[in-house]
Amino acid sequence: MKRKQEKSYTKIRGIDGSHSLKDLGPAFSVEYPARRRSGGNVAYFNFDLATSMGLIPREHPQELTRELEAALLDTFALVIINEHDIEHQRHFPPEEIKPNTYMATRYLQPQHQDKRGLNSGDGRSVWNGEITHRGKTWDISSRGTGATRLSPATTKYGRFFKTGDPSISYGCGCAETDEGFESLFFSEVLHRNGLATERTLAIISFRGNAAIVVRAYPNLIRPSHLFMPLKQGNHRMMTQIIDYYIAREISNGNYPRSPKRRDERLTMFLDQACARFARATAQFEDDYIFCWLDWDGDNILMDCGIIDYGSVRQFGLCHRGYRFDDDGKFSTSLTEQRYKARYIVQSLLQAVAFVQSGTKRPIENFAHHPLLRLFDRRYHQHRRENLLHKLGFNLEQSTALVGSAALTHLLKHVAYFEHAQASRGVHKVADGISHDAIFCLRDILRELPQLYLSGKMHLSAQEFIAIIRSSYAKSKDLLLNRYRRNNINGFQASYWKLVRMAAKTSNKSEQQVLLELTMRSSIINKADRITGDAITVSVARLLRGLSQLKPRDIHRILKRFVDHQDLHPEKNSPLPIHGKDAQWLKQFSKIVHELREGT
Amino acid sequence: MKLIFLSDSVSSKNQELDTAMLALAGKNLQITYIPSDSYDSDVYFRDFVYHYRRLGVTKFVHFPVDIPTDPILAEEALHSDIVYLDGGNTYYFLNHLRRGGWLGKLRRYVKNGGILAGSSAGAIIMTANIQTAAVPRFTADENTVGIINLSGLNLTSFLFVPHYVKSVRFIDALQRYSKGIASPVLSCKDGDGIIVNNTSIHFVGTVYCFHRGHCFIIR
Repeated sequence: MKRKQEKSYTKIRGIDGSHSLKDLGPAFSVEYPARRRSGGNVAYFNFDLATSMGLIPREHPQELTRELEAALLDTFALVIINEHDIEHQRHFPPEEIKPNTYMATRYLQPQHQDKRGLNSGDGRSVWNGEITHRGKTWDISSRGTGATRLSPATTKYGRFFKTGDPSISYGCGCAETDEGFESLFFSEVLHRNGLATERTLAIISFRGNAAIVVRAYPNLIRPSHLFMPLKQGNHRMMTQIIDYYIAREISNGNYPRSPKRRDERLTMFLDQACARFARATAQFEDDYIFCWLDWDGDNILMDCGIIDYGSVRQFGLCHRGYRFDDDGKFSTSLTEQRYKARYIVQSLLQAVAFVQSGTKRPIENFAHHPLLRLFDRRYHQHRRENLLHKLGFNLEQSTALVGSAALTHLLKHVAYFEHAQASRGVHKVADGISHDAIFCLRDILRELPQLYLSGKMHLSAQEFIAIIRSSYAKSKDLLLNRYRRNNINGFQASYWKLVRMAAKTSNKSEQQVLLELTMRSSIINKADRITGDAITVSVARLLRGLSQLKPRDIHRILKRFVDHQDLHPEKNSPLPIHGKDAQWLKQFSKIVHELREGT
Repeated sequence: MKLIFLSDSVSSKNQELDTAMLALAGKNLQITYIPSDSYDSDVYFRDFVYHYRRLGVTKFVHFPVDIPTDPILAEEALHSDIVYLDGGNTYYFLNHLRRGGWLGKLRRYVKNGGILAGSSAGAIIMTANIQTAAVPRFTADENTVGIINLSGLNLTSFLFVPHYVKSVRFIDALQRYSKGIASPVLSCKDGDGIIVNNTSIHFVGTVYCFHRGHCFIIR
């Protein structure tokens, strides 16, 4: 009996649009009937994620069987019956109509004209449902399921759009196969490296590069879901959505305890949000991850997990001058994300105070709240920890070094090199503007301990620059003035101080510490780490050969790609790669290497 | 001229060879690790360091030759007491050693007293040519880079085939191959190897010599 159930994939088929967020009413979502969309095939299925969600049994082979494909298509290959369909009295065969409705959630998007979230939210996606497995509830949503009334196009033009309307690109309700694979590759690499992120469960492709991209995460609520009732000054809705969010976090075990009193729950909610945003923004800045974090909290999840990879980049260098151009509106920059995150926390303070008092006080009233000072302290603490990790110190050594003056000095010198920009100035790039960084910190952190170990106790300024320079640097960018020389010397002096302190605290010789740094930093600061450009080009290459690849092949190649991009210094040794997999992975590696300093 | 031929990459099986190699170099030595391919070499380098750290080595340089590297590290790479050419795809490795001008530099390094060690593909490259990378056929490396010039470092009068297996078809393949060439072909199983120290040659474990269609065992 059990085998029969597994064969029919009842857990997958049980994802039918039902979701507890619907219970909060139409103020939070728009429910759409949906119909089956034919002509699709499963281009990718994430067997590992599906296993951890309990959708397939652990012993399920990583093979897309006919039954599994049928279950995935029956469940996720759908298109909503939207307002345009109803206006134009389109009729669909009853057998194509799904039994339940699917919701598009409402959230604040300030680019919408009303500025209050009355008509903004999921413009081309719906939530498929939620599933609980081993005490954790996952949200599942799909993009490319049709144009909703919450898309920017509907607001802008004041009318409803037909799904797939070629006259409107941003608002036609469609998704594309390449963007699905880009999200997949990017999110799996970041997930492996410990970042919170949405993950791709499946990609269903259709003719003409169209796709439905199914994603999953334990809680898909964004800050902008909370900021919608805050902007509207609606106390009841504000309370509802915060209670909803906290209840899910508690049931998922993400909070350390489960207080009964609302005030305590709200305090915990704020503390958690502050901690997560401080940690994540520090990591974004140190790993050069740009996800267009803005005050409205639209492109980020409530726990600072990454969502919507369309505007996510990982830079090879600290390209702090890069700004995405969204129809003339420039995005925030890499180093400004921290201030936006802080403002999100400030807005959450405002929201909680609103819930508690019933009165919405101006945001400025919270500008000096102690929680924001705590945010700053946590952010700076994480940045210190992150640098120690990048240097290659282990946890025990980092704990001993994190408060040292030497680390403070090194951070200043690191900032000098990371923030140095090319004399070329601000210039246009394919999707925005940039001001190129000229130094590659990863290169110097990887090579310095090897050179020190070999007996070079101090690199000359010329040697230091020869290692740290990036391909963006022209000779006039590399002139050695006194200030630069001081930073080179200061960098090395601080580095040595940290090595000596680590040696002392861990009872090892300096040579032993340098040897450990050599081993760890060669992986942490891998030369060919992915960038957004590299993901785009690699995926384009993959898609050219997609017809020769089965989902299990893609899954296997992706896993090896992710293994290769795993930057944990204690990771297991990789198995050798052979045959077709080797050809794909070498191609990706070449692309990543060529674009390793880009955006 | 000091050369070490290992059949297998970093392994506890190589204990005797490792000890002999390190003894040639003396104390407080530095090893340069040259992977055949930069792909995943950061992890292989870490494992390499783990392995030789246990044997008392404290200084290492990681130097991939198939990606651009800075001149400071390149200079340091050849200042090491031992340069270790790792295993992998022999054709790919040779191609990048040649393109980067490393064949000449390594020959000079050896001539000036440096110790050159090679495991598997690395060991094959130390010989006159890498034709043996295709012997036997059933374990042959694929010439993925399509190189035609198969000349190696030419540091020995013998050719080398790693990963010897006591099987009829393996032995048969080597015997047949050795019929058509003048140089003897030496082969050994993983964990065994050959140490060349100027005019003397020392065999660790059992080394098989294939010459003009015959097979001899050297102990």
